[in-house]
Amino acid sequence: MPAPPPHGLIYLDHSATTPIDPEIAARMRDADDRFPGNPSSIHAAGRAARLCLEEARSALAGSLGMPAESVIFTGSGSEANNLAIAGTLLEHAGRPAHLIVSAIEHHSVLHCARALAARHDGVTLTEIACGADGRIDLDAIADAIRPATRLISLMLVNNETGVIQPVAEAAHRARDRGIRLHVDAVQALGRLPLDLPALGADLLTLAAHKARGPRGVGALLVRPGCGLAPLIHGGTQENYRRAGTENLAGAVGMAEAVRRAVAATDAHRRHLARLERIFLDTLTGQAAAGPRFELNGCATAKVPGILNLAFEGVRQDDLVVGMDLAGVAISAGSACSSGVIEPSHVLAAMNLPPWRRDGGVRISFGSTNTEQEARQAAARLAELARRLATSTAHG
Amino acid sequence: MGLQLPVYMDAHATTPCDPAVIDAMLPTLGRMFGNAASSHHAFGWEAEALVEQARELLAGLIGATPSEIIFTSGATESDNLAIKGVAHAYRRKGRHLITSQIEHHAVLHSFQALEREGFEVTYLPVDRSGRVDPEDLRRAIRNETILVSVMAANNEIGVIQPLAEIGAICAENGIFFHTDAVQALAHVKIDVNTSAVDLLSVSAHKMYGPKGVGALYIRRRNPRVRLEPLLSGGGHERGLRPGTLNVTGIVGLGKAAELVVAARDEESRRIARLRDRLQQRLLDQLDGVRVNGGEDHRLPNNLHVTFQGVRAEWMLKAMRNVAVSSGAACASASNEPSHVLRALGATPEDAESSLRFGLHRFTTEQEVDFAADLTVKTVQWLRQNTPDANLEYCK
Ligand SMILES: Cc1ncc(COP(=O)(O)O)c(C=O)c1O
Ligand SMILES: Cc1ncc(COP(=O)(O)O)c(C=O)c1O
Repeated sequence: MPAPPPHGLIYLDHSATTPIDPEIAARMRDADDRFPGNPSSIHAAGRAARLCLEEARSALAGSLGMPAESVIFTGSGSEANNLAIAGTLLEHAGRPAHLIVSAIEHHSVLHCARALAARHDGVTLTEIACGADGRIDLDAIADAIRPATRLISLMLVNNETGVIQPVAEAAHRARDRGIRLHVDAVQALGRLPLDLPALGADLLTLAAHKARGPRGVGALLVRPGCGLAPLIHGGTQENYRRAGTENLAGAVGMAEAVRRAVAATDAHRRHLARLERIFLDTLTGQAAAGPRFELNGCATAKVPGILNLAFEGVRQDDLVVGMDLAGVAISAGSACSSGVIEPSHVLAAMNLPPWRRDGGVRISFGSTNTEQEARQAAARLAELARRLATSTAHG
Repeated sequence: MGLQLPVYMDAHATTPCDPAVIDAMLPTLGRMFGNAASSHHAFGWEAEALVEQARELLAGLIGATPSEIIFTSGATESDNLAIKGVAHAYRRKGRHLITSQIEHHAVLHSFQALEREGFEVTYLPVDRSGRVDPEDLRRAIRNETILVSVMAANNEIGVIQPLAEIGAICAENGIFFHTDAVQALAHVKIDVNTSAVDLLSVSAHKMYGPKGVGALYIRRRNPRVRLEPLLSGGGHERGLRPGTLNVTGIVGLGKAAELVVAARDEESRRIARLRDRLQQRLLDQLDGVRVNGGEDHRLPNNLHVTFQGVRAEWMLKAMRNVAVSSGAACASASNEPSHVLRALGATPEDAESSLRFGLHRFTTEQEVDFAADLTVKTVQWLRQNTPDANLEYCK
């Protein structure tokens, strides 16, 4: 049952984070209450906590058809991405290693790859371009592969456009060449089936808070047999791959979030598609009076529920701030922490005309949104865009 | 109130979460779900305000300013970030680092990772009570020394180090001083300015907060410390620690800090009285008992005892109703004798005949008496009933 929106506001920024599911929150509190011990302690309180942690691990792995030992819990999706990339590249530190990522990856992939190439003599990096449709260029990947290529890192769903990336096809081109594939599936959870063998993925990143789980916990799924150099050294936790006392309640919450998201993927997609259609229909219905708008990213190759829209002659920050004042939370691309809107590297990589590149705003729906909210938000957006376009034209 | 079994006396592994901390976290598992980096709507601002309030509370605990605090997934990550971060940022200035032999594995293993990269590390010895001699530190310093890391209080024997003296020596020599204050903060007042500390690691779950969240204090003035981040990604936490913030955990850490400030001095006296009572009972009723670590500079909640001729492993099995431990929780999978006791000059047999009691905010006199009686009975029983095995073991 959708909960009433808090604050009376309409929340359309689910790609940034999602409201935590009350039942997941209840499970986390229950875990905190029942298992106060440190999962590494050997007394009964510790063993009970360990059992609870391992149940969460098996449940998470089981939701994706993987063995329990394939799960490494981390402190965020960003950390899991760093572990996948740096952990692979530094496993045989000193040996030359070539890395391929796309230009539209999340910053935790892109910046990690660039930092490795800058800091380590033997590490080289190729960034793959994408087309105006927001899909990465498969031929460019095939061309970039060299004997030293150790890892390809691609996202399954882009967080700014919702465009689905041809990950399995890329895996196919890299097949039998001893190259690992890492897939950032943070935005795909709950929106696409996640099957590591079918994707050809050796490593896969998830973050709980994008699927109604808690903030501050992520996971890296690792195909058995894939060695990784740890980034955080210390105790023996996570089978020596990630030290630090485990966030037990977080792991419980994450396992439950993944279980629910995977089980409900089809229903969730239908719900999102319906909201998206209502939203776009409402917007189009009122568009005659307003400025031209375009969807950034291929409409037929994206997941439902994430829209990147630009209105000709209307500034991105005016739209975001104006919608906030109108009671609708949307965003300008990914959640940025500096408070200033930075130009989107994703839209820049797509080679769009300037008004579409600089004007893109992201609207992302979630399971608690209602049809009425979609309709209201679209009406407010159309009205705002019209006002902004005329004021710019006259001012 | 009746006695609740089992009695939890393993506060060095983890402390029970204070109910007031849980109450403070609850709203973040409901209405307040925003991403603290979403800078364009009320959901994000609300989350950010909660995070900033927690930052202030934690800064207050150690005499820092809020902008000197960054949040992490726990002290293991904080230790890694501080040590590797300084080493990598200042490697051109020098490649020599100093620490002590009795640090937590999060610190020791970070230094070992740096040794593999070509850094040189001096491991300072400790005296029989576990203290570092500041004169040893002075002698170890070279022109190329860039960092000293000595823990505020040890997690096994509770010894408190002469932080102010160490800090003064570091400051005199222009060397950064990091301290892992995880075990000390709940019990001992630490001021980063009085002790000239430049970096300080915090873990919430050792001060009645939740697991999976911690912080690092990083001095910004006199001198300003630069760090190379451990993880790359978005600009969160001043670019030093990417990843969507664990708002729930951070709020819990802030509340935990607030409670410590309010209660610490009085609470420490109370806990010390209970600990002394426990120690006295064991010493009065048993022969062949030795208290490890000095009594002059010891955490009020720590009691580490060697019971000659009795294996800790058997005691732990026999004392199901008291949760204590035989060493650091996170080393439990490795099964090595404690590096801390070895540094004190203990024989491996002594090291494996020792128990650590960790008292805490919720420990009662009744619990102390119960634990004392059970320990005495268990030691007596084991000494009487397994003489051969014990003798053989003691050879
Ligand atoms: C002294 C000390 N440092 C660091 C840690 C690691 O902290 P965390 O459990 O938050 O990773 C611990 C506890 O395990 C500790 O006792
Ligand atoms: C595609 C993608 N990857 C990784 C992340 C990082 O996850 P986290 O915020 O948990 O660090 C995000 C979200 O911010 C994302 O959208």
